[in-house]
Amino acid sequence: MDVALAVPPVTRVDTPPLLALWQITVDFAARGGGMVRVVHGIDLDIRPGETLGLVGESGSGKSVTCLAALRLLPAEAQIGGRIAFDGADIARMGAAQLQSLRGGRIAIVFQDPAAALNPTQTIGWQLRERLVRHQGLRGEALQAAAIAALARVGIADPAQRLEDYPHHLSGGMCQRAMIAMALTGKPSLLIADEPTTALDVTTQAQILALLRDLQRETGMAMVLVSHDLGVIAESCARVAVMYAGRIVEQGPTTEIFATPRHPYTRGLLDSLPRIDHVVARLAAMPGALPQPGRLPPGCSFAPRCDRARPACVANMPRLEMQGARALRCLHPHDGPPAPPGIVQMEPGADQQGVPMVEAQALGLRYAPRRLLGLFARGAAVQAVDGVSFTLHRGETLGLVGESGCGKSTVARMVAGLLTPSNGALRFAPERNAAPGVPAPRFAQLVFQDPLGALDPRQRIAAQIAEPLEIHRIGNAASRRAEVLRLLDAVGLDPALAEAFPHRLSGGQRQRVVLARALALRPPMLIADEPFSALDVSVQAQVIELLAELQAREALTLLFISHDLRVVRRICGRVAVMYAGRIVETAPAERLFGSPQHPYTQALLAAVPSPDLGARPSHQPLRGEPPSPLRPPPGCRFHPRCAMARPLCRVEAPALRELFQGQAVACHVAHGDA
Amino acid sequence: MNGAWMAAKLLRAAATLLLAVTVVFIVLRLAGDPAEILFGDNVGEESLIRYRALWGLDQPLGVQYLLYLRSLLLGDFGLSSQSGASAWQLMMGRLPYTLQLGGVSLLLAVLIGIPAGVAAALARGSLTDRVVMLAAVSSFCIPNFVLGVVLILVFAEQFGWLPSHGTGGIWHLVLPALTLGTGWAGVLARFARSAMLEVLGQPYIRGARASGLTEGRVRWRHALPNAAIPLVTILGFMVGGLVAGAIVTESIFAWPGVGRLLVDSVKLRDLAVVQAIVLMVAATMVAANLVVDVLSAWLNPRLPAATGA
Amino acid sequence: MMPTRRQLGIVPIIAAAALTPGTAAAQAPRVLNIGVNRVSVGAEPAFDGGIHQAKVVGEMFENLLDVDYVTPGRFKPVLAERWSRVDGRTVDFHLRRGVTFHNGDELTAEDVAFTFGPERLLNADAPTRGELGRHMGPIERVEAVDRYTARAVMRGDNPVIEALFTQRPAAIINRRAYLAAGSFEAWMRASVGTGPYRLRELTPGRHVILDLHGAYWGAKPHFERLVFQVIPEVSTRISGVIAGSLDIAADIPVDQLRRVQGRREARAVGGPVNNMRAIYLSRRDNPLMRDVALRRALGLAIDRQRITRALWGGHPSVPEGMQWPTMGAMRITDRDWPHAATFDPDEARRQLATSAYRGEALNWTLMNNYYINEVATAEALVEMWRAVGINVRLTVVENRAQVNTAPLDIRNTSMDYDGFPDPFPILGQFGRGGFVSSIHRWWQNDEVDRLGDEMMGSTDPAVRKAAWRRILRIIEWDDPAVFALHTTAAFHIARSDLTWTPANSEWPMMQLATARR
Repeated sequence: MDVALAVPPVTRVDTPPLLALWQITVDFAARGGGMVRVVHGIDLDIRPGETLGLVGESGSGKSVTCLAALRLLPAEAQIGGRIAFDGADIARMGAAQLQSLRGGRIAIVFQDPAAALNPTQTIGWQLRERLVRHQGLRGEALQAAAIAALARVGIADPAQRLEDYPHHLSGGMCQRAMIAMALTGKPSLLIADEPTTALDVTTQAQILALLRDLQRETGMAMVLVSHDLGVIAESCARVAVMYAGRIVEQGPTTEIFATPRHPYTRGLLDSLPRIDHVVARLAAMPGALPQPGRLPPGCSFAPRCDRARPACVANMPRLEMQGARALRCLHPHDGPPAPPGIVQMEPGADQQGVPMVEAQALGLRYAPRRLLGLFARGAAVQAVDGVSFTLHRGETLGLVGESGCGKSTVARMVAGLLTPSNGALRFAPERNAAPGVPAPRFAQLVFQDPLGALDPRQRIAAQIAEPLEIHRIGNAASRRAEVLRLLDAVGLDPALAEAFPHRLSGGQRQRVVLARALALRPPMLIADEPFSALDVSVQAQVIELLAELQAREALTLLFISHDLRVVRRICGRVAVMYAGRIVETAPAERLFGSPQHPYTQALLAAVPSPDLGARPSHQPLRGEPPSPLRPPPGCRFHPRCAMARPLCRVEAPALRELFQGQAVACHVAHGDA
Repeated sequence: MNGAWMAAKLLRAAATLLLAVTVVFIVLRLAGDPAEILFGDNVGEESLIRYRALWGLDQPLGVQYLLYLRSLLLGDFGLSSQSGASAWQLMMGRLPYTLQLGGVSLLLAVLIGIPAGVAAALARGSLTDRVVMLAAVSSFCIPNFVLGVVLILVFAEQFGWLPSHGTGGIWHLVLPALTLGTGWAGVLARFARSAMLEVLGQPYIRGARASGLTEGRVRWRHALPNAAIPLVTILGFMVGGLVAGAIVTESIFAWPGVGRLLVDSVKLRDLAVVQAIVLMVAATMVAANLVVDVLSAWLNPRLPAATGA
Repeated sequence: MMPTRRQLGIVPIIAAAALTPGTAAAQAPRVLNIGVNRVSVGAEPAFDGGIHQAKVVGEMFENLLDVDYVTPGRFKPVLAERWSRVDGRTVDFHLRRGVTFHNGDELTAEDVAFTFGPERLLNADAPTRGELGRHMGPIERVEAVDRYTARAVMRGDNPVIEALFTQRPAAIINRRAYLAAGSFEAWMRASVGTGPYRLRELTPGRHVILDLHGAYWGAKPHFERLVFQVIPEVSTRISGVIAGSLDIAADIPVDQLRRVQGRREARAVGGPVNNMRAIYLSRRDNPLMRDVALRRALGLAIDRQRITRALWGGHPSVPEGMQWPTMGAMRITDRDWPHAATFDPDEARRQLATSAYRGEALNWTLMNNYYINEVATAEALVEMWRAVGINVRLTVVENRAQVNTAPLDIRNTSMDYDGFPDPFPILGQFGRGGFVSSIHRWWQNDEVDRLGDEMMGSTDPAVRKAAWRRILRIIEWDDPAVFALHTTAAFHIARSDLTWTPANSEWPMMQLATARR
């Protein structure tokens, strides 16, 4: 596509680099003594004004490398190599020089903005502190500079926000504040370590746009670290892919993503679900990421690589330069990747029969806290308001929305863990118990954090068998056999049966959780963000597993997620929630193909994709989701909606069918306003 | 801080006090007759009867309890059955000494323990760290009576630098406060170290460093105030232990505090005095916890009381 | 708002500092500092407050007459110049003139009569009536004949009337002050006597301060102020003397005396006192204890020498049964029954074999070292009994009331006889109306009652001695009620530059009026 250059171009190769990392190694103290090498000889150059992306999964060493560049690692870590910045070697700088460099000419922004701010001091206090440090201001000038700094990063009402504490602000606002603090030193290089990973997708789009604008204004270079290839594609002109502490491929973003040569890069791209109008089967890479102290011999990726040759195991390949690209592989791919296998998404659902779950005007209201049982403090919160949907047998319904929209609350109500305060929940007759009462044989839950969902003291087999024991199904022998069958069904080696959870990788744990959920053969599964805690390559495996299980066991699936790409892969029908209400529901193809609600449109537009790359005309959705304590009157989306009409401010739109199977809650979409 | 929150706390405090006094009231009367204890062996039954009537001990337990509550509300804490003096006077006569000893000990503990713990945390893993922690553990393992006696032997007897017992000036406080405060200093050092370490491992500390703030600023303006939050809670507990914890020290140094009075009174079943002291200790604990709550809210804006919302 | 609350928290501490009494006045009177284990709640000579009360009361109150230890059988005049027997049951005491109480009143016979009067002593509900049973039992009344003559009338003829008035509960108090106090407790804290020191301040649990009585009739003491400081920890008391902040550390256990061995600043003083440790045998609660053989065995199984060597450094002596040297001619030295201090485990076992005892547990409840070495002695005795096959269960409790309410087969006591020149105090325990026989009813014997009347009803020494012999035999052998363990020794540590010797009695106790530097 012809891109009006929104992204700064790759600067000429002969410009001296701003920051040059040469043979950087990082060693940490190992548990049993000795040192473990986490980063093995990284060479990286960052030129003035350029944006470099650093891609990798857990254990790749990308964050460690960035921290090492500023010597922000704990004292036990040993850093080797040279870090040249503007002539000086950071690795050998004295403390005073280093401190003026940090936050000054090189600034760094971290992943979880609320955690990266001191919780017991106001935003203003912390911002002023940095302003004093880097610009030496005081008094009136200081206050004015603080307000200006917040305004510059797009925070509304900056004077008021200065007096807030970090926990008063949303994730997006905190990140903006962090960026403002990073800018106080007028950096020529900004390192952004997963700056949007903890944020919602629309907020992510805002922040990335902000970063690009700031770069354009100041001409500063940026290193953007992320595991999300779409984010990298949108913002970075150059990208380096890291695996197990080494760079495996490097080069201009468009080229790398168009024709990835390293099998890992290609595998990453193939593992990434898309929101195109076709659904691709994810080509998941087998195996798991290696642990830093236990790297396989030769090429670290060889055990998972389908192109591995004996030479790959014998020697670690070197990073070879090929023009603007670099590659560390003995047997790379040639040519563009093959198109992925297409999956036919069955409607699958038994539309005629008795629905599994029917929700009508479902609502949950949290009563205000009461002092001594008498005095109400704070307002009541209507977390879920008038939600209606139908889930048919064999169907996969995706419930999407951003944090605070109420989707998890709905899931818990369906699971019987919460009692609705309004509305009705009806189930298929086999559920056999009242709503508000958990019915394990009817629906099982799968949650986000597999480590937290498993008892660290019990062996895997015991945990999978536990539901059978509790419900007195079969005897010890039959349960044992069932456990083995389930392990096989989720693709786990039966030898793992006697292992403890902490011995397993994240992906393996989530498989165990699935196996346990299926033990009672429930007709329905409720999965609440089951993949968010997993690395991309592992996530792909488990996504495919779930899709396969769903087809084979004819499961009904209620799937909750904020990641639209995953929802596209798995779900036949999707419902979009905003501020406690459903704003649109439709079959997945229609929703992703032609979304009708402005919020759905904004959501989809905000999802970054490696195919789309930079989209200069894309304007991210403004504003923040409303506070549940004070929802806007009428349509809850209207303050942020570009198409808002007077009616939207007054009357809440009802969820009505617009086209066949597609219902929207929007006056404008229905042509009423 | 709003009024409703305070009111709720005060109500809870009053309920705690009432519970404490009631429990002590009942338990004391179930074990040992004060009149017999007072008069010893060779008194006739008639004298005992007369004295029991005088002290109201011949009435049913419920009646005694209600009478006591009524007199409490009127500010009358009763008379010591051993000496006939006002229980309130007896206790108030000793209270300043306990406050002195407890206050100075606490101050010593804070001034020694917290800096030591912080220093150990900052020098984590080094020899300094290990030495400080060893000292901390030893200090709260050494029993009060051993430390006190040794201090007397060395500083009072051997060198004659400090007085070995009694009151009478600031120097009389030194050895008892050291005895009592050392154990607490050790405890505080351990907690300060772990609180500081936990805070130093937080992302915002790295964020502060990454912003180019000097190490000193990071430690003293970012880390330490956050580490202080759990320490305030622990200090609240220690204040409550001011009275009871000093009993042994008071005995060794003949320090006329409330702790010893309490033990003697319990042995002799001097009911009014015990009840008065228990009330006072409970009130101290409650007050200390109130102060802790307020301080915590001030230090930690994330607590709900702080916002008043 | 925040600072206000915190400031409020500091105010009590400042107030506390301000409230503490400052250092003593610079123009110090000559002060004698005595470190004691505890002080009593009041200073009342007829109130049984133990040795710690006796220390204080001994400096404040005086008797009509004292025992003359130099010449046995004679008495020294104190508040009474002379006395005369009117008849077998009556003695007139002629008071010294010009004796002033601490409150300025002159000593008159009214005070004497009141001291032994119904209100304080004789009435059934009188607060010090307990002392009647033990010490002043035979008194019927004391009246003022004239201003300076008090007449004491006994219930019946009594050979030891004068001796009765040398005891601690017979110290003379001031009538006006007693009546003005309003209650006994108030009187105890503000008592008035005639002794060389008067009560200035009594803070229970802390200290007692006595000031010199300016108008004292006798020899003026050297020290103008006595401060008894409560220092419960023995080690601290000793350190105080060595360091110089105390002049005397009272009641030091024998094994601590070596702290001052070889030291120049301080020395150990003291020695045997007129007090003995004994074991009562009660047959009130347990039918087994009615068995004479069992009770004999209990006494025969004890190796008293071993106890005095192990726990007392060999200082105390083993008395000849329930007797002491100042009994004089009344002492029984030729027994036709086993000596009371016999240690014969084989005989003990033989006695046991004839009894119905089959190893059941006997109960002994005692206090936690109210007396020095109390618990250690008890444990030693239990082992000695176990060695002959007697099973005794020890229960250590906090206070005397608990001791008295527990089932009791064996009970220990520390009995002071103050050099009483007659066996009469034994009757005060075991005779008619006695402490053991009547008040607590642990043991009682009609024959002893009768013999007691005989002994106290006659003035004939031969008759009295014969009666005493038989009483002694009954309580020691025929129907054992008690056996003596050993006499007691009391030690103190004092500054070497202090010239002072404590008394060897509980009454008087420390004789601090005689101390000088």
